Amino acid sequence: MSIIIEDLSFSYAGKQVLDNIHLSVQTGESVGIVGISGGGKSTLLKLVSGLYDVQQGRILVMGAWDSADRRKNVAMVMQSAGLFPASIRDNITCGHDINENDIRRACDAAQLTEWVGTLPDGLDTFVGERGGKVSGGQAQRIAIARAIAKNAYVVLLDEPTSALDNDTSAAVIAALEGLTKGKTVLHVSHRPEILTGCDRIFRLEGGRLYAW
Amino acid sequence: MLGEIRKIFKVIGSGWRYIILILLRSPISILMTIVNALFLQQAFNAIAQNDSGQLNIVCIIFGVASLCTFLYNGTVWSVYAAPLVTRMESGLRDKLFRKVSSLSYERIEAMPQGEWLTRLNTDVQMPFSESLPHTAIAIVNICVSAFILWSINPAVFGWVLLFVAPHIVFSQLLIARAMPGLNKKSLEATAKNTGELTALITCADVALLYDGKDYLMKRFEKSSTDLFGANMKIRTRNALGAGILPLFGLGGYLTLLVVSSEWIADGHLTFGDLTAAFQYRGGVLLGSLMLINCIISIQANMAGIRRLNETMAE
Amino acid sequence: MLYKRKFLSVITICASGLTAAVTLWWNTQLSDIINTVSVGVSPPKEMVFWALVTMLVMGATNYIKSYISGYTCEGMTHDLRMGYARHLTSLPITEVEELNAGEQLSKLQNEISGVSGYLNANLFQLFDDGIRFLSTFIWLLFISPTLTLTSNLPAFIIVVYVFWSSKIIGSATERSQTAKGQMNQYADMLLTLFPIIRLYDAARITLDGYTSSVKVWENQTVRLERTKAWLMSLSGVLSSIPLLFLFFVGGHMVINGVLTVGTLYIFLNLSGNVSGVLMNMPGHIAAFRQFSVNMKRLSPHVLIIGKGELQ
Repeated sequence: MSIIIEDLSFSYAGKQVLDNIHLSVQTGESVGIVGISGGGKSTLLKLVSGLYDVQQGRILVMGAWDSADRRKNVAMVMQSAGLFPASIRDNITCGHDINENDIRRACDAAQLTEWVGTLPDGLDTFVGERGGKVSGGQAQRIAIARAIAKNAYVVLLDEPTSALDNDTSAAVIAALEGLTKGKTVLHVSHRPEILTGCDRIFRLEGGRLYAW
Repeated sequence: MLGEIRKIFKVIGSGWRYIILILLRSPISILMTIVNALFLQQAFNAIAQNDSGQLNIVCIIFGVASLCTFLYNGTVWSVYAAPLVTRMESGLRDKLFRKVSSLSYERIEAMPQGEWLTRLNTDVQMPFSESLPHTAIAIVNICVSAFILWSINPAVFGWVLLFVAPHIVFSQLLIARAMPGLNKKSLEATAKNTGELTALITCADVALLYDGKDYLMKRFEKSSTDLFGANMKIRTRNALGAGILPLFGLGGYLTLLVVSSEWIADGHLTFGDLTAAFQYRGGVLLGSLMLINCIISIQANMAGIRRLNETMAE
Repeated sequence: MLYKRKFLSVITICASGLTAAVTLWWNTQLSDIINTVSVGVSPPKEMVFWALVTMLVMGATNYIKSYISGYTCEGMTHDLRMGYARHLTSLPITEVEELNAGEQLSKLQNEISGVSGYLNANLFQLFDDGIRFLSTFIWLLFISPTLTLTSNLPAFIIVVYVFWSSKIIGSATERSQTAKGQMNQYADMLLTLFPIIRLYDAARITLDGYTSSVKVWENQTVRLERTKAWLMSLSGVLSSIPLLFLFFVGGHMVINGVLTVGTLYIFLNLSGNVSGVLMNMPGHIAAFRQFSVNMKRLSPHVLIIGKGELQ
């Protein structure tokens, strides 16, 4: 099992967001979770990824219980790309020493290569404050390239296309395929049609998980 | 520059009243200089003549003269300046708001909202900055102080000029000229640093997920160090100014003291006259520095005034 | 922050002390020169030479003081920025998300810029003023206690006046600024809702609202300016009193042979170091109060560690 969630409950600002969640995800499996906005989907992913500390229950990701260890095993693409005010290259490597070939492979898989080729500074192009110098679709593909470059076993997707128009979404979805191939995936969305490619789909309602 | 100022005052109206205000305000600084200079002159002369009665009279006159000067200042400010300038500004604000309200939506959309807000909230204050009145004050101060110095003793005037001129030139060359460029670099470094700080918050989750905290901290540290460096360049200039410029002032002081001893011995000058001359010297020097700063300030304000004229002309 | 840069802070304070000492030495020489010049005698070459040397030393100490205090202040501001950044990176994600969403970020950034502005402009100025005041006051007391006390006593009264008047001006300024904020909000509304205003022909409402807010601002500002006009003019009159007393008392002391002209002149020269500093105290204290308030709000958000960041 790649991901095991047992008796997970989480409350925030006095409100019960997640209530007694149980979930197991096999290695290489793709699981979708659908739910209304504000229903706790992002919170669940943040707990699985180790961004939030578990209050009650247990989460195991690739054999790691501890938040810091779980973070090493996951890559996540969120609704907002979360780009650093730095170059495309630095956004992909996050300051780590990553082989140039690996960076290029990540760009290929994230459908970035063609666009980067048109830029005068290539991968050293500055993306602007909060990614202001690139479009939404380009920002998300950089975020996807970052996730690919990390080469984590588990991929978490938190509505990565919800802020994009249909045409841009299509390009990003194509890039996501490069990221998720052969990985364990947990994908959350408020639109069930986005999750049709998943092996299993659940519904998150009232803080509880139900089969779709 | 004058054309733009004339245009905006035509829009505002009450141009003549503003000119009267400038004329009323222009003698205030020179009045204070003259009161202080005459007081020192007469007081030292009375002391030199061992005349207690004369000293008492001089002190009383100084007290009354100071009171009258500040009464004049307070009256002009309170009765004339305050209502006139405030009403002129509120009149301009009203006219500008109505003008912008009447423009087409296409015209409004053609510029970012921030630019319109700059015109409505910031540029509208530019015509009423203190630079214009202070320019008049500085010019009157320089001219009258120089004239009085010349009439006290042309040689004294010559010596004063010999030290005041390089003082001004040096302060412009050493500090004023470099400052806009250095300030710009400091602002850029500040903006970069703010961006890196914002990234620490907005990208915190990504940094945590991808183990990029150290990377972001290193970037922040570099931007903070760069900001330190940019600001230190400004500090160094100011330190050089603090070290060198007073030498002109003190040097002029010392030189005047040394050369005037002969004139005092010959009876062409009294020690009281000399102390008065130091006051007028201050008037010339400070007036010149103020004039230069005012011109720079007016030039900086011109961008805003130009934008206002463009908008009102639409 | 001071402790972290204690070595540099001590050097800065010592530089202020040295500058003050050199200034007093310059004034001693000036007094001797004036005593000779005032009776029409040329000062000896040796006297002029040492005055020149003192002048050059003064230039050097001014430079050193200015440079070192600048370096120390910039260093402390850098430490503050790094401490704030370190604190941010130590926060749990939930707290950072809250910071991101709310106004806290811009408030904290304003407080940091307020604190760094104070550090750069005022912190060592306060020490410098204090050193200048104390050294000059003690030296003048040593030369002539009567003249020192009589010429500077009015300054204490003026300080009380300045405290009181700056409170009044402060409140009036706040009212004027509030009215300005209201005016600016209408400008913001005009631009944000421009299409709505056009579509629903709502120009009249915005214009009327703006005009009345301008009227309020105008009244508040005229009141403020009139208040400033009288209070600050009176302050100007009061600030002439120390000079008046100096000559009234000091002049008679010279006439009676108790004091020399040169000594009176240095009292005149150094009056700025005593009464001038005293009269600036209310401004310094107000600025320091604001600085303390900002520091209190900031200190939970700043992690300053060990030695200075810049080696």
